[in-house]
Amino acid sequence: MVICFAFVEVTQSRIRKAAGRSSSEEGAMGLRRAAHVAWRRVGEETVLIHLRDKKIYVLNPSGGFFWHGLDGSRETEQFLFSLSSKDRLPEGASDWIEAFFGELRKADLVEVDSGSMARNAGALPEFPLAAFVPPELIWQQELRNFGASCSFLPGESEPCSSVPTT
Amino acid sequence: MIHVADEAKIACSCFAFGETELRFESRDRGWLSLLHRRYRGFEVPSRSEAFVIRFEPMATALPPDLVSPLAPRLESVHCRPTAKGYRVRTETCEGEIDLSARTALLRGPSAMYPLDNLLRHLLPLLWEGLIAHSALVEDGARRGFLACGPSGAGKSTIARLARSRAFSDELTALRFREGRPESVALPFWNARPGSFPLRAVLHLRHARARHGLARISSGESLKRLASQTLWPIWSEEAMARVFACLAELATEVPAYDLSFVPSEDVWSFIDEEVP
Repeated sequence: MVICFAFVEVTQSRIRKAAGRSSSEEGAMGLRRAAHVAWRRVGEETVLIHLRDKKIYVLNPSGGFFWHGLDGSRETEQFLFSLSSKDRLPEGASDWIEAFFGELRKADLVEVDSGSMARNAGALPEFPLAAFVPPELIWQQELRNFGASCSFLPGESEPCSSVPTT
Repeated sequence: MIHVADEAKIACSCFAFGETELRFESRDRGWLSLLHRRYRGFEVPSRSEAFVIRFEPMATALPPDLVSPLAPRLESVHCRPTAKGYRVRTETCEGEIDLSARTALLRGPSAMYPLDNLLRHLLPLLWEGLIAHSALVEDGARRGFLACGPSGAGKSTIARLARSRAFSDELTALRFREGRPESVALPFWNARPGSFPLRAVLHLRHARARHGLARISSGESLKRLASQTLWPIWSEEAMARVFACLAELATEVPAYDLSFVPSEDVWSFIDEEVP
């Protein structure tokens, strides 16, 4: 029991540090998905687009689990509790999770909902993998109205280059 | 056919880009005749609900690198929101889009490329789906193959090899109607009207020796499609709409990596290998 409390305290401390918050700000720690982000699950991955920055991001299945839970109604620590209760957290897992939340914050994909803690947190879905895998942003790209195009009109424009695109 | 409107010798012509009807108006009959050469086969009778694009020619010479007034010329497009829509500006032309009045005013040299650049931004705003940088080829059973990839990947080649089954070699409009994916040929660059339920997405690349086809995951398909989509980057609402369509497309339509050599048998290979 003592070990368990010690683990929780260390975890909470680490997450406060990752989020750039002090313990005195506790109660305003509910991270939620930012309103300017649209997202969908596509196959096993979760895809986000930042509507203002015009960027697309893909999360791995583990990242998708955490993303879906970011509804503003729970402390980030609760993710760890739900996983730790199932003995799925290897050593260093909290660091990976903290880093992941840090990446989401840096990319402006999440925001802090100061009033969210008054709401009850719903149940988290089952972790989708048999073993813990670090949550990650695995791909990102800037969205654009592409500007380069091969455009051959016989007699009206130069033939397209036939150089293969890698 | 070019119709002469009443207003001070302004003539007009109407074309359908999928179900988006555009009426072009101008005093410049030469410019309107270019439209008829470029968009041959896409003419429709003029209708009052069409989106109106009025062209005012600027008395400037055509860019020296332009081979023909019909030739495409891609310029960097700067676009910014206005109270009623968007202002679009390039090196040599400018346009005002009024979405509520469903009109646009375009000024530039008397050539097609100013319109190409305007439509590249306007069509994704008007279409209830997405526009992909892809060729559209019919499979012989009234279903469509979307063949996409960046410039040089082989869209024009694969369309040419499809002969009479090809409907466009540059841009295709996509949407879901009653949950089913529908593809619509757009008049870029060599194209004719056609609309088909979508059978598969082929992500193209050149091969050195032999054709190859491999199924790819929905996530991988989405990543590749995302870079070949005309994103309406100036409208968050339209971006979200395009994203929803893109995710559905990647999820619902089987996608393949197609490496091909430009030989006559490539479509026989595709017909046999794609389930």
